[in-house]
Amino acid sequence: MAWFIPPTRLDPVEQLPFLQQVENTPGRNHWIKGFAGSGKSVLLLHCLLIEKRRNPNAKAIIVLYTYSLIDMIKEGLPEEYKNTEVITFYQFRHRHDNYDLILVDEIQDLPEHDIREICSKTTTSGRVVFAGDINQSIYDHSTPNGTINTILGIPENSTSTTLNRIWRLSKRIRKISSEYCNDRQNFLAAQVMEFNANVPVSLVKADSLEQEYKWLLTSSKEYADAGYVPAILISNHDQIIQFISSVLQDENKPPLKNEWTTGGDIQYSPINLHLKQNGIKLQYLGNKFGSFEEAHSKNLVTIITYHSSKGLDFKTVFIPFLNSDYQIWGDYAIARTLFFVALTRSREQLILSYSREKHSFLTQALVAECTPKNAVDELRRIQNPLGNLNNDNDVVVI
Amino acid sequence: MIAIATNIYDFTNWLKYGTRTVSKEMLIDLFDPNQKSETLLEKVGLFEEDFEIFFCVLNETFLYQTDTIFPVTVYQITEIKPLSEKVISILKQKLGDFKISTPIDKTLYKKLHTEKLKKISFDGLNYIRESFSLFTTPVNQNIFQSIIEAKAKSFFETSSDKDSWFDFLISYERAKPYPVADIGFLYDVGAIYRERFNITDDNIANRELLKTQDPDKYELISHIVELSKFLQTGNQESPFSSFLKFYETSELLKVFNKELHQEEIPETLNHILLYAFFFKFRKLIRDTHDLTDSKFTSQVERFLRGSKEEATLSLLMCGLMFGSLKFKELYYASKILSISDEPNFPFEHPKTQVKPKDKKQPTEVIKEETKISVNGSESFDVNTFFKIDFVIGSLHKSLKTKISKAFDAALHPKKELTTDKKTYFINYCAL
Repeated sequence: MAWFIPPTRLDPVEQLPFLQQVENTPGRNHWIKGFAGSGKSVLLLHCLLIEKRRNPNAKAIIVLYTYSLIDMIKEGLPEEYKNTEVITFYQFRHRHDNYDLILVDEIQDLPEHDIREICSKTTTSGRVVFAGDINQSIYDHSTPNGTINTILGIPENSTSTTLNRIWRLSKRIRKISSEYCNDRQNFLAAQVMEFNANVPVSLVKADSLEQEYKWLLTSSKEYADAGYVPAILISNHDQIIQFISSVLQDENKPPLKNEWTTGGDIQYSPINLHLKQNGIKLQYLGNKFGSFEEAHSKNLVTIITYHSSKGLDFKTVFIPFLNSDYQIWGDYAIARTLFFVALTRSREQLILSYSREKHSFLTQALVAECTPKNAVDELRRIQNPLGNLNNDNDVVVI
Repeated sequence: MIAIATNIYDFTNWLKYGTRTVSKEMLIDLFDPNQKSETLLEKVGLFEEDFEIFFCVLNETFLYQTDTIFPVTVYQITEIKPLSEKVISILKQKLGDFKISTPIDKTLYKKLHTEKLKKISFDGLNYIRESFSLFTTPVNQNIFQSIIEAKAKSFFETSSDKDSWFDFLISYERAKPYPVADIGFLYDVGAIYRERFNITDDNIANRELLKTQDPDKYELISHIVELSKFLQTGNQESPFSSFLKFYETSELLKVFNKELHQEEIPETLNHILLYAFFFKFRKLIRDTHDLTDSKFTSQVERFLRGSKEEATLSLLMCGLMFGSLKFKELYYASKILSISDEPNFPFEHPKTQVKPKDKKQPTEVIKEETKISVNGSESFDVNTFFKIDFVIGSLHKSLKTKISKAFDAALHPKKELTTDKKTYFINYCAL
C-alpha cells in the first residue's frame, strides 16, 4: 500500500468534495479529470472503498491499459481489497459478466466502442468511474470529451470533477512540460504543491551517440547505486535494443541473440535474463516484463517506453537521444503528447540528453529552463572525482 | 472599490438564498494600498490556492453603510475579481455562467500572500513545537524572520536574488546523486557550502594555484576536501555519530562549522549537523503521508535524543518551511481537540508503548522511564526535565500541563520544602 492515501489525508478542496459526490450519487457514472500527478488513481481506489462500504459484496473490477499500471495499482490497493480483480482492457473485452462497479484509468486512450462496452457491463444499479487526462491522449482513436460525457450521462457543463492541484510534479517540471500540454493555460494555472522538491532539470550534451550511451549507462548506474531507482524513457523499441546492445559491447559481454530481437515481438524475457546473468544492472519494464520490486531491491536501472510509462512515476527519469532525427512518434500531435507524458513521469530529477543537433522539442524556452551539462565532464566527475593537480589523493566527492 | 472576499461554497449559498448577511468589518477597500496586511488577511481568511478565494465587488452604496451587520443581495454584486490572472480560467470553470473580471491590484496580492505565508509558517513552527514539546532551544527569534523572508523569495520566484545564507538553504535542492541514505544529507551541506561560496569544479581541480592567488577560497576548498574525507571513510550506518567523532579530531571541520555560523543561531550548535538534520527532516516530511505515524515520530524522537539542540532547531525550521497545513494532523493528534471522540496517542515511543497482549512488558518499561526521571541518585534540575520531555510530549494535554506545573513547583518552590525536590514533585503529581 505504498502510495495509497487514507481519507483523512485527502485534499479537502478538491478530492473530498468529489468523493462526497460519488457517495451521494449511487449508480451514477463519474469521470475524474485532472493533470498528471493530480491524484486521479488515488481517487479511483477511494471509489472502490466507498462502494465496498455501501455493499461489501459488490462485484468490482479495475480495468487498466498496461501491465505496469496493473502492478502499480495492485501495490496501492489497501490490504482488505487486495483480491479485487485488476485487468487490462484487452482481458476485459473477453469478459461477459456484469459488475456493480467498474473503475477505469486512462479513459482518454479508449475508443468510443470500448467505452460503450465497458458501460454496458454494469449491473442495473452499477456504475463506472473513469479517470483520465485528455492532455495525455496518445492514440488517434481517442474519444472526444463531449462523446465521453454523453456515453457516461454526465452533463456537458459538469466541471466538479476536474482536479486543479498537482501533487507530484515540481514547479520546474511543470514549467518545462507545459509547452507540450494541450491545455497549457490551465496546466500552468493549476497549483503545484509548495513543499514538492524542485530539483533543477539537466540537459546533457554528448559529443557522439556512443558517448551518450556511455554517459547514460554510467550516470543512470550512479543514481541506481545511490538508491534512486531511476528509469530511462526511450520512445521506441529499436532504440532500446540499440542501447542495450551498446551497453553489452561496452562491457565486453556476449551480444543479444538475433532471434530475441527480430521478427515480430521483441523477446524481453530472455533479454532481461541475459542482462542479469551478465551482471548488467538494467531491466526492460513493460508488457509483463521486468519488475518494480526487483528494480528497488537490486538497484536496477529500468528502461521503459514512453507509452508504457503512462500512469507511472519515478524519482529520477532520463530522457535520452533527443537529436533532431529522433522519432518519438510518426504523428506530430501524438509525439508532442508522448513527450509531455515522458517529461511528467519524474518526481524529482529529470535529465534530458542529446548528442547531435537538438530535437525540435528541445525548444529555446525549454533549454533556458535546464541546467546545461556536458557528458565528458559528467563522465569525468563520476569516474574520476575531482582530484588535486598534485595527485595527493584528496578526492572531492561533493 | 468595496468588496468582500468569498469562496465557492459561500458564493453558492449566496446564490441559493439570494442574500447573505455581511458584517461591516468584512468590507475591503480594493483601492486602498495602505491597509494593514494583518487586517487584510483577517478579512479574507486563510486559503491555500489562489482559485479558492475571489472578491465580490459591491455597488457604491455600501461605502456609506452605517449598520454593523446588513444583508447583501446577489443583485448588489457588480463584479467578480480573482486574486490573480492565472486562475481566471479555473474560476470560469468552477463558476460556470459568471463573468470573471480583472484580478485585484498586484500590491494588494503580494501583501496578502506575504501575510498569509507568515501566518501559516509561524503556525507550522508552533504546531511542530507543540507536537514534540520543543520549548527548550535558545534561539534568536530573528532566524525565523530570515527563513520566512527566504521562503517568500522562493514563493514569488525571486530566489535567484540570493543574499542571505537562508536564501541558499531554503532554495537548495539536491542536483547530484548523493546517497539516498542519511549520509547523503552531509553531502548536501557540502553542496550548499560550495554554492554559497561559489566554489566551482575548476576551483577544486586547480586549488593548488589558488593557494597563492586566492588563499581565502583555497581555505574554503580545504573544508570541502576534509568533509569529503569523512564521507568516504565514515560509517554509513550511523553517519551522524560517526561524523561527530571525526569532527572532534578535525580542526578544518571546526573552521568549516564557524563559516556556517549565522548570528541568529547559538555558536554552541554544530551547524554542519544542524543543516544536515534540516535536509533529513525536510526529506522525511516530504515523503511521509501520515506524520502521526510512529515511523515518523519515532525517527524524530531518536534524533531529539541524540543531538537535542540541533534536532530541535532543524525541526522548527522545517515547521516554518512547510507551514501549518503539513503539520495539522500531527498537531491535532498531540493536542487533543475538545470535540474529538476520544484522545489518541500517536507518539508510540518504543519504551512507553503499551502492548495489550504482553502484560509484563509495559510495567517493566514504564519503571525504567520513571527511574530516569526521578531516581534518588540523580540530581533534580532542568536536565531531568530534558530527559523525560519526550515521554511527557506523548501524554494528553491535561497530564502534560500537570507534570510541567509540578516540575516548576519543585524546581522553583514558592516556600521552603519539607521534603526533597523529587519527593515534592512526585507528591505534587499525585495531587
